This record gives sequence, structure tokens and C-alpha cells, in this order.
Amino acid sequence: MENKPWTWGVPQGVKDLLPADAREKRLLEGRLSQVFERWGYDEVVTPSFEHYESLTAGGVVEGEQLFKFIDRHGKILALRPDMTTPIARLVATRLQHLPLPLRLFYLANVFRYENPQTGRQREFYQAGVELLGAASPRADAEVIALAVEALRATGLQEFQVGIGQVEIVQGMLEHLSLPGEVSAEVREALLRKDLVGVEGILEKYRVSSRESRQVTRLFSLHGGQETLDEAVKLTAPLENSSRARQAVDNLREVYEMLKAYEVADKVFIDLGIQRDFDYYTGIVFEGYALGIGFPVCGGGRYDKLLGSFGYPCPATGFAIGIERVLLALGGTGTENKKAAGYLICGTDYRLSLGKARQLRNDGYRVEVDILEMEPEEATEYAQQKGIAKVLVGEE
Amino acid sequence: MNRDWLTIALPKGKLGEEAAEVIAQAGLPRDGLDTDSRRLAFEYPAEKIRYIICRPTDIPTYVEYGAADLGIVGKDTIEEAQANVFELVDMKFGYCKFVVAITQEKWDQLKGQGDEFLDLIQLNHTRVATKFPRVAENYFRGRGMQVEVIKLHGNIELAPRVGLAEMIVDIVSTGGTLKENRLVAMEDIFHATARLIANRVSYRMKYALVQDVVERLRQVVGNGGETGDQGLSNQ
Repeated sequence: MENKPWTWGVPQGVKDLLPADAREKRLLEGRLSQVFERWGYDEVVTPSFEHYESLTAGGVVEGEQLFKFIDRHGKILALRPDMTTPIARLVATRLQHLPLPLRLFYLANVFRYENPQTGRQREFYQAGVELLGAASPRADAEVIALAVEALRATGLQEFQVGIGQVEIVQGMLEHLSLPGEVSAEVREALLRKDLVGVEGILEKYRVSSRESRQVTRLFSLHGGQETLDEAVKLTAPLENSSRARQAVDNLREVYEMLKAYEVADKVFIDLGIQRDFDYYTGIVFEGYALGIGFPVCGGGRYDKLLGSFGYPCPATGFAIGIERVLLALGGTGTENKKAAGYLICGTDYRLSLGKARQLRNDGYRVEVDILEMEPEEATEYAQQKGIAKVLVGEE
Repeated sequence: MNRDWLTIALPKGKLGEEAAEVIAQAGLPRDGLDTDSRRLAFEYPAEKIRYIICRPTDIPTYVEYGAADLGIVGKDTIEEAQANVFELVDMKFGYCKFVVAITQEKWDQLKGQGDEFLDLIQLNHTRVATKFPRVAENYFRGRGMQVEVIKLHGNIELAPRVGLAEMIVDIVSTGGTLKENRLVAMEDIFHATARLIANRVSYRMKYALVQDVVERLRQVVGNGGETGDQGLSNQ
């Protein structure tokens, strides 16, 4: 091997946070956890790695997206790719005795073996909540309203939360009784908003052009109350008990409640929002902010996940991408300079420490000179670091 | 980023000229717009529209990351980029198709073995030269074949002639280049035209602005035909 100087870099997809960034992150997480606490949510912490089988039980992520390793007994372990599955496992195995609903929140790093993208490295940070044990529209509305409050608390100026309902799509496709793989193809095209593609596929399978138009219309709906009225009209020909009709009603109820929460100005309906099909079972939503091309938060109802851990229990929740919010905040965030208020130097160390103690008790940020600097050196150092005042201990 | 402005990425070259043409027909500003000049950004404050001129292969990236809200680019490029973007309008120009092609000699040789139908599987475990490694990889994997994909940046037709590869995957519009290089198209992979693509967040945060452009373009190119009734759901 050639003797190359080793650069001590970090692997692709992970990064260090330097003081300014670390501080920004800490502040943001503080604001978010405060909101979650106020809404009655309790924090939980789960291990960074778990059994591979537990993390993949609910089918939330694909096995190949996990960082895996093997313990000394040959068992496969993996780093957690999200927090929803570990919390489902935690609740199903350890919290079944607690009265429902359960309100939990987390601040955590998660790991995904995928190509690093904006605001999503292979290790990234999330803050989120899970509301377990309630299938009612009130639970969906609470979680969406909380997402709005949380995004507001981050200081983002312009953000919006878009709401969809995966059962409307599923129900419509079921109504058309297409073969499974064709439904999958249609969903795939809907995810790309490729309406031309959708119509093409439906035409191939002899779906009438009227019905085909109905599907594409439904999934291009976007807006407020009038969108819901339109969705009702479009699904009116279906039976009352049909999945799609019930899902539209469910969405209407949730939207009514969001008005009562007084967050209607921050949310819109977009039936094209699908997120992950196999995982979500009802209302889904995403948060968007100006200045970043990727959603800053996402979530929805997942009523089947806990069942895969032997505890059937409806649930909903969301996760906010910490790095993405920080990116969107960009320059608009709070001024990040946090220099110490005081630098204490002097020849009598005891007196310096006494002074420092007093100031720290009063809540100031204080540095004590440990290099025995001369007064000019101390002044220069304080200037470089932006420290407001230099005090001499014995004065 | 400003919520009232739209940034639209246009490709350089021939595709860009055609795009500019359709844009003008749709009533969007184009005075002074030149997709082949050294100037790379054109702003129209009255209409609050900015065009940026990009290499076609970069357009999905600009749009995926939200550096541009919208972009016009070929479906071939979108497929290769595998970018996570919305495809809103089939612009109906820039038609081309992806094909798998082999040399005339290889074709004759395979024919000479007396097979009634030529099957791609006969070329399993051979090499394919292409500018579109992902498209090629996916296609052959979908056919249950393993091939060695050799990424080239141009003049793909040369590769089989000099023994660099047995097959090529390339886009053809008329087939003239294939013929000139004594190549035969064996299979069509898919047909492509230019598309209007959108960033997923812009589509939602700037819905009214994006939808306005979509409607105008749809009217010009005449697809979807949803202009009338889509209007109902806009506001």
C-alpha cells in the first residue's frame, strides 16, 4: 500500500455539527419539545439499534435501507431507520397496561442507507409525536394541528401543511376493480402526478374515459373547503358504504375540526398526497416550507403497525426533519452568536473564581482565563470571541 | 425564494428552442429569451417569471432540489435521472425513443442460427454501451438479463463497431444514425417526449402559479383536456 496521509474524514452521509449548528439544533429541539410537552405528550427514548426483525416487522422501510450488523451470537441487528416502528414495539411490549390514548414524543437520530440528499444525510435527526389508541378524526386533527403549532414554533415564516387520505385512492382503484399490479402502476404514476400516464394505463385496461377522468380529477384536487365539496361530488356515484366515500367523509370531519383549531389558514387539502401506501391507512399529511424543495415534515394514520407486534391499536403521528427545518430557516432563524458575557482574568485565581461563581449564579455566561493572559492578550482574545466584558478578579 | 415568483428551467439547444416556442404560444413572456446565448438567467419582473438555462441532464436535479420550481425536459432525461419530481404536462415535442440496437453482422449471425424469432435473451451476459446506464440497467434487469453496462458520453454507435460492446441502448428520433453505422434496432424500450416537471414542494406552495402555467401549456399542446373543469377546483 502506498503511504497516503490519512485525512481523518467521516464516512459519506454523516457529519459533525460545529458549535453554531449544534446550538441551532439544540434550540430548535428545545422549542419543539416544549410544544409537545404543552400538548400533553411524554418523551420516550428507544435504543439506537435493535433486532433487525423488529425494525422491519411493520414494513415501514425496506431491509436494504438499513445499516445492519451482526452480534456475537450471529443475530442481525440494525440501526433504527425511523422512530415510529420502535415506538410501536415499545408500546406493544411494555405499555399495554397504560390507559389509552397514549401521547408520546421523541427527539432522535435515525439512520438510512440511501443516497444523501438535501437535509437528509444517512444519519439525520427527527422530532416527532405518536398518538396511540384513537381511531377518531379528533386524533387526526389533533396531530395535524400539533404539527402546525410545532412548525410555527420553529420560527418558519411561510409554511403549509397539505392533507390527503390514502383510502380515497385505494377505494377508487378498488371500485375500478383493476388487477393488483395495474393498481400499483396507477399509484406509481399518481405519485409522480403523471396524469397523462394514469389515463394511458386506465385506457389500456378499458376503464371508461369518464371514470378515468374522475380518477385524475380527484387526485389533482387541491385547496380548501371547495376541494372537499368537489371530492364529495366526484365520489357521489359510489355507494355510501364504499371505502372512498367514507374516506372523503373522514377527511371532511378532520378539516372541520382543523377550523375549530383555528389552523385552517395553514392547511390545504391535496388528494395527491400519498406518502407510503403500505404503511399509512388513512389521513396523511406533509409540511412544506419556502426555501426547501423537500417536505419538512410528514406523517399520518397507521392503524395496522401495532398489530404486527401483537397489539392491534390505531395510531397516528408525524416526524419533523430537524436538518430540513434548519435549512429552511437559513438566514431567517434567530441570531446564533452566543458569546460569553464575561471573561475573568487576573493574578489571584481564587478571587477570579469567586467572581465567576457569582456571575454564573446570576445567569451570565462566563469564561475564566486559564492561560494566565496578560491584560492586552485577554482584551484581544475577548474581542476575537465576541465576549462583551473583561473583568480582573482582584478589582 | 419568493412565493410570488416562478423559476422555470429550460434546456439549452434544440429542445430549448422548441420549449421557448410553446411557452410563447402559451402567453408566457419570451422577449429576448435565448436558450443558446451565454446568458443563463432571464427575468421578467412584470410577470414574475425567471427562466434559467441548464444542461438538459441537469434539469431534473434543479427541479428536484427546488432551485427551479418547474422545468421542461425530455422524458428520457427524467427516466435516467430518476429524480423525484412531478410530471405535469406531456409537451408533445422532442419525440424520441429508447432502443436496444446491435450491429447488422450480429443480427445476421443470430438470424443465421435459424431462430425464427430473435430474442434479446440470446445476448445475455454481453456488454451494452450507453449514455443512459440506469435506463439500460433497469430494462435488462426487468428482462431477467445480466449485462455489463458501459457508460459513454457520446457517439454510442461507435462502440459495437470497434468491439467495445455487443449492444447499445440509445435514443433515436428517426433512425438515420443507426442505419449509417450499420446498426439494427432490436427492441424499443420506451417512447419519450418533453415534459413539464415540477418540484414537489413548489407544486403545493405555489399551487395557483404552477397551475396557471400548466393550464396554459395544456391548452397549447392540447392534452389532458381538463382546462374547463380543473378551473372549478382551483380556488
